[in-house]
Amino acid sequence: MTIGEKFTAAFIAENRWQLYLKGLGITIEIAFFAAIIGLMLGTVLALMNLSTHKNGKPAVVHYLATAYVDIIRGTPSVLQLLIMWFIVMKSSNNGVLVASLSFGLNSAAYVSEIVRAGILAVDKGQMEAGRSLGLTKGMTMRYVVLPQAMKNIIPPMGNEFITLLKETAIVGYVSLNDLTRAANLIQSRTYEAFMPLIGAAVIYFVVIKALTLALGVLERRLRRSDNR
Amino acid sequence: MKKLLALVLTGVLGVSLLTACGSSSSAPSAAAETASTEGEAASVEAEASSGSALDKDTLIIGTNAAFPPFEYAGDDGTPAGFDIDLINAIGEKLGKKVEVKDMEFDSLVASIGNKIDIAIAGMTVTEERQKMVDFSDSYYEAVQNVIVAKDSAIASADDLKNKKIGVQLGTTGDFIASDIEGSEVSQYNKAVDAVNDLLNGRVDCVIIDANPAQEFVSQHAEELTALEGTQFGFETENYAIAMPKGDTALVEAVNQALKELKEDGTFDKLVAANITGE
Amino acid sequence: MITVKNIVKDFKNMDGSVNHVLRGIDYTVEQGQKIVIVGPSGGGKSTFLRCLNLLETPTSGDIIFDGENITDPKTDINKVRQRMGMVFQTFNLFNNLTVMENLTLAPVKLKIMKEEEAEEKALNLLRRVNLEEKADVYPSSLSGGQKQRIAIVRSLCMNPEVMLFDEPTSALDPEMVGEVLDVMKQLADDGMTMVVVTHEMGFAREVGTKVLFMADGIIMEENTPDKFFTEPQTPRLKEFLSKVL
Repeated sequence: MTIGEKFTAAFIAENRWQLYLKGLGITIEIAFFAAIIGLMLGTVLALMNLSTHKNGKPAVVHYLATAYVDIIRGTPSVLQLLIMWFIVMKSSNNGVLVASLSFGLNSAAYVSEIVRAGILAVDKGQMEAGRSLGLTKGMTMRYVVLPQAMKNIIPPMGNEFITLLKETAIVGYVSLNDLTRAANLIQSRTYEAFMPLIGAAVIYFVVIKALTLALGVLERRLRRSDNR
Repeated sequence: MKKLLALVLTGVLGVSLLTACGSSSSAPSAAAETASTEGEAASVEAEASSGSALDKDTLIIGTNAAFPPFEYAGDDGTPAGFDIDLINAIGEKLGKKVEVKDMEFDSLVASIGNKIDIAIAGMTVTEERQKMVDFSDSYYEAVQNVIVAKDSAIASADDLKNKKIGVQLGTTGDFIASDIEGSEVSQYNKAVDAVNDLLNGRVDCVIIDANPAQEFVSQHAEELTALEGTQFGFETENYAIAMPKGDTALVEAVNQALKELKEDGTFDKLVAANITGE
Repeated sequence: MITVKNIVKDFKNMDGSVNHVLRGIDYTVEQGQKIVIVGPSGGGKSTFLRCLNLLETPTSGDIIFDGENITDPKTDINKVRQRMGMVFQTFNLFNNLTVMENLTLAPVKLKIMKEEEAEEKALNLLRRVNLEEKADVYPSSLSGGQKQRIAIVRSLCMNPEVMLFDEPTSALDPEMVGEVLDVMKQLADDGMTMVVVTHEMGFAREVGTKVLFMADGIIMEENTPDKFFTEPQTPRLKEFLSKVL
């Protein structure tokens, strides 16, 4: 086959480009919902991790949160996905939901560490000032500490989201047709690996590059607000 | 919020598509050119030395050990089964060592001639595949089966329309299922995963070759049953051994070995030991 | 108004040994008094002050504020803190909020005042410290002296009954110390009950009702400002005064 034929077979014939597009859609959909789940659960886990009794000793929830983070970080995400698919949620027909949940639960562990570090990087005096005015710990957290922690959190969070987006490439294991799987599928039809694999790689790259640029703009905007 | 999201997604898709087409038509072609010149060089060289995988002492065999009883992970974890026994017998006839590699089924054909010399994996001869590889004489005839739940109403070709069908990626079952009107096909890396999701109710049926179908059903005799493909109008297929395109010496040698194995009764013994279970 | 009974504070070091920062302190601050605490660093001044509103929890002992034992775990410490202002060495203005938001956050979120009411009060107080034009800027654009004056105003917005100052001028450039001390003197003249940890001996002499000398985790000496500086009793205080005066 000539290069042209290979290209036609991989992208044009039988409207195969639609498969990549649909695959990219699934990839983004899973990553997006997983990121939301990860962000929310991760923040809760971080707050659990940082919570103490009045005497300053770690609360019970602290140990629950650290155990969760340990377990998630100590197991491969592909196994977590398979366990979620074939065991925990085996009666669910919504593949995107199962995958989003699996990746979301996974991402939450990493997000919680990012949020925790972001909160700890905020000067202790901010919390003390809030408490000295009679504000509760929760109120001070919400109105003072968390908004400041956001600045520390956004850049590593961007990295986490990019990692997440790429990690979804394993959903082919459970028969979801994401971008990587679309490339596999076309390869299994054309018996030619080069075009579909490189094509998928280019699409990932472009999407992630666009995301990186967008995050850069966001970061610069946040930094500017520092000097208001 | 939804609209905004849609807008952002469309933007991202649009940009990615444009750049994807743009760059993959230019950048990869340069790489592909070097690849093809290398390929030519290799084939020239191969011709000069009467070039064939036969010149090597060890033949690298690719299979996908997830297709019982033809190939599966044996007790020691390495591939075992009818195809493995057969290729070993062929190797013996040819006076070659064989080394079996387990890989994904959908990448077998693309790997012949580079990663592997020969693929034996219950592979059906199709026109598409014949464009890429040469096949030996057929060594086995099979038909696809449809595995369904015992209480399923699926019984004819019409019943398969608009159904959720589980298959193994890149197999004949995958191709058949993808051509069925309104079908929603779930492609798995392993057939057993498709069967698991049939048990979980995620798919309505699984289309897979007859022998592995029997194998899987026998493990879940309470819940599942395998229906003959003829009932759905599926055509009989021929399994054959895939080899590099143009390596006629190898193809002829393999065919000769196959013929001898059939004549001396070895082939039937292997069938009895592996497939019919006698 | 505030009575401290035998409070002890121990800190555990990393190696497990125990650091006795406060070793049994008894004291009573009466309404309207301005108590100035001086002493060498590490003597327990700041820890003592921070115990008064339980930013540090004493290891043992009682603190009674307005008849209520605030070391009792059943006490709602947030309610108590609403009545005790605190000013920190490092200002601790909320960096993510404008000056006005810094001032109104607590009164509004704690539902003590309506927003307009809080803003009006904040503006009045800002006027008193000559910083009304800074209402809408963020803390990062303020000088240290401005920050500390606003930090004082932030506490005053809660209408506190007592103000605690933890070395309020120690982090300031020398030329800004005066403007902060002026605000504190003004506050003292208005009759505010104050407990001030400081190194400003002039302020102690001028404003203090009583001056305490804290060292080694105890109140080593207590006297009126005049006698404190002119007739020190203990060798430790004599030595201290000879160094700082």
